[in-house]
Parts: sequence; structure tokens; C-alpha cells
Amino acid sequence: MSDLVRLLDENAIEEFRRYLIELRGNPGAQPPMYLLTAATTSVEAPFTVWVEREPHGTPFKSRYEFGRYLVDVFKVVDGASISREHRLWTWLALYYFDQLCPPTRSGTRKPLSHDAAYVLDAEFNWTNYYRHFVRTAWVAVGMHPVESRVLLTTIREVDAPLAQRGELIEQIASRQSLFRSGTVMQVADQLYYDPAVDRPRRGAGGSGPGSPRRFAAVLNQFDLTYDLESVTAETVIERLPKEFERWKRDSQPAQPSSVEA
Amino acid sequence: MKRRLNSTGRQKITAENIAIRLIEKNGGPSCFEANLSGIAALGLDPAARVVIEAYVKTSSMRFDFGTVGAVQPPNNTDLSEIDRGAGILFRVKVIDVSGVTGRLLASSGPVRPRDESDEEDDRKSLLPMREVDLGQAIWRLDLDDRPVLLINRAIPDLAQQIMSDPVLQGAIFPIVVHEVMKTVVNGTASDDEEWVQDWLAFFSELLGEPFTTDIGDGEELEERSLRAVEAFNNGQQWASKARDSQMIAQVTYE
Repeated sequence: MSDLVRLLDENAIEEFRRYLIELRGNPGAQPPMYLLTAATTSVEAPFTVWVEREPHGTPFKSRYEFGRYLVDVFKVVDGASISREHRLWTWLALYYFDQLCPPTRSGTRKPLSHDAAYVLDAEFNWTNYYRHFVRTAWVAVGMHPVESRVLLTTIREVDAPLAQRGELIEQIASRQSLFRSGTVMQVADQLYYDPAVDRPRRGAGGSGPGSPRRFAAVLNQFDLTYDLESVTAETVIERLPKEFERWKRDSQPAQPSSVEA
Repeated sequence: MKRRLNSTGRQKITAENIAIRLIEKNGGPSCFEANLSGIAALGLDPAARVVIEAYVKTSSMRFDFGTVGAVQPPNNTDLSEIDRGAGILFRVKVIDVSGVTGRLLASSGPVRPRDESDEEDDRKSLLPMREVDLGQAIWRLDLDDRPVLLINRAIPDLAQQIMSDPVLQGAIFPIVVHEVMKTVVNGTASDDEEWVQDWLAFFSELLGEPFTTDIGDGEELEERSLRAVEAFNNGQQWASKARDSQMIAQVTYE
């Protein structure tokens, strides 16, 4: 079943925030889905886009699949006009709340402690914006259609893939300059993604030598000598220290994923 | 432990080479203008690309400024994707396109933009800065006349560093506030002098109450001074800014 995308008004956004606060103290509280369509809490969007919660009959298997779906349905809209439309992204977070914060069998939910995962601030703030589960998936796939898979896919199958955050997304997406760089994303994808299983390699979530945390630290050093948006991925990979040998050994340039949007 | 810096003949772009001015706009994001005419003097490849990055903490925007041989500002320098509420800094890069693509031929450190208030007469500045020969000292507060912050001219870009580094600011300016307050109260300058009036107004704002030279030079002055410094530190949040800057830097130590 498809639903017409709308925008939450400011009162509805505040009510969603109050619900999240309530949910943290009362895990059985039900999400206020009525906010999505009521004329008193939502407004028409200046575009016509229809969305489905399970476009393939099952929940999304990864945030990457989710991001590809969003890019596809919103391709009819000028991206710049919606990128910072906080009412839209908060509406979508509530719409997909059962996948962003799924209920257990007993009906309880455990939301993240940051509202920023679900509610997008009206004022741009990168530290909060990159945390938004919905917008970041759309932005990442829009900017890096193939390589964003390494940020948006979990290492192993999990029950709530849309609710997961990994070390790579924290290390790379938290800095706008790294997140924006096609080179950085290509290198991350080559080092840490295993196309054979369509998931990041095992160990890519760690913090030891050659880990994403170390990768981000090494990129800070590279930034002194190279422009991370102009330098080629090959140049970066050639110059990575020995601790990355394990990841370089099996790396290969990105090929389109087999995941369907 | 050694900090590894991968320097490959990269030249330093200094404050003498560039000038960036921030322009506030009513109801919209601020934008900037950059004068990069000084870059030509560095003798760089004319085909090399020039890029300016604006940043606040972890948010940043990038603007293409053409090439060394043909600097061309973009039509739009709106800082729309930058966090607000903190000082914007800039970094200028000159990027190799003919040798090792992406290699930096030259770059600047953090550049603080001048805003329109910086165009006013230096006499309006509470604390002018002067570069002088200070031997091995980094800085000194000159109180012979009006307060002037003397900084060591032998240290390249020290003025720029002080204006952009919260660790340096937090180490210097609270001491300045303390010393100037004592001087204003105990010194020989008349209350009618403009700089005295400016500093009295500044102290009053910090303390949230009128501050005058009638206070005397004993315990009450010391108490007011400590309160003013604390208010200054809390308002500027040096420690938080320094911590945020260091999280961004994350240098590698071996």
C-alpha cells in the first residue's frame, strides 16, 4: 500500500519529540502515526511522491537498500529543495518508525538516546544532520550510488537493519569533508566491502590497526599533503601504512551492488 | 613519540598572501569574498587549482576559485551548509593537476576571516596586537600606555594562530583580563581616556553590573577580577572549543 508523502508541521514535530521522551521511559508507548496524515498536524508537500513501507513485500534489508529506494522515489524532486526540509525527513522517520525503532515481540521499543536519529533540526547542524537515519541514507546513496553501501550495510544480518549504525559511518559521515569525498568513499569501499557477500568484511567494525577509526586518523594526516577530493583512490591506497595490508590484499574497485532498490 | 608530517615541498600560504572577508546577510546565510592576489608571488604552477574550504567544527563547504594563473571566484559563496554559532575558519589550497593529481602544492593554516567591524580604526580595538622582538617569550602584555598584546615576530603566523586557536586564546586572554583590570583601577590613566572607558564597559558586561575605578585595590578588586575572568572563560568556552578542535585534528603519533 502506498502513501502520499506529506510534511509534519512544527507542533507535530514537537509531539514526536515528546513521544520519543515518553518512549525512553515507557517502552510500550505507541508511535503517534496519526500525525502523518491529520490535517491539523501535517501539510501537503510541494511535490507528489508516494512511498511504501515494504516496497518488496518485506522490510528493507539494509540502510543502503533503503537509501536506494528513497533516491529512486524522490528523483522527481529537486534534491536541493528537500535536502534541508526538516518537516519532510521527520515525517519519513515517523512513517518508517516500525523499521527504524522496531517493536520486540512484547511490543516494547528501544529508541536511540539522540532525537537527531529521527527528528531533523530546522537549522542546519552537521553533527545532528549526519545522525538522521532517513536523510543520511538518501544523501549517501545520492552522492555515492555504489560506495555508500560500505557505510549503510551491516557486517552481518540483523533484525533491524535500518536501526543500525556502524563504526565506518561514525568515522566518515561525522566529517562532512570526508563524507563528501568520492575518493574517500572509494577507498573505504575497496578496503572494507566484500562484494562476494554484499556486506562489509568481518572485522571492519573494530578499532585496532587498519580499522575504520585508524583509517579516519590516517586520512587526517593525508589531508595535510593531499586534497582528498582530487587525489585518486589508487594514490591513497598505495600510500596507506602497513597496518592496512590485510584490507588492501583483498580489495578491488567497486562494482554495482546486487541489492535491489 | 614522533608526529609524522608528510611534507612534500608544500608551500605555506600565509596571511600576507590572502585576505578573506565575511559578509553577513540579513535573513540568509553569510557569504565571503577572498583576495588571493598574493598567491601569484609563490611561483606555483599556473594550471594548479585553487580551492577554498570554509569550516566550522566538522561541517565544511568547498569553493572552486579557478587556477593560480586565472583566479576566478565562484558566483555563489553562500555558507549555507556550515554550522552556525561558532567562528568560521577557512583553508586555502593549491592543488597539483599536472604531476601527482591531488597533491597540495601550497596550503594555508586556519584563516580567520575579517568581518566588516575589522575595517574600523585600530583605536577601537580593545586589545591591539603588535609583532615585536621578544627573544624567547611568546607574548607579553604592554601596559605602558593603553593595553597592547605584544607577540613574538619570530614565530610565523602567530597572530593568526592566536586568533584561531582556542588553546592559545584560553591561555592568554584570561590573564590579560585580570592584569588590565588591575591596571585600569590602579594605573595612572584618567577615566576620561577612551580605552579606559572601553575596558570599564567590557568589565561591566562580564560582571553583569557596573564596574568603576572607585573599587579600590584590595580584596574586592581581586574578587571582581576572578569573577570577570570566570565569566569570560564561561562565555568563550575555550576548553570545549579546544577539545572539539583536537577531535577534528586526530594526529597520528608514533
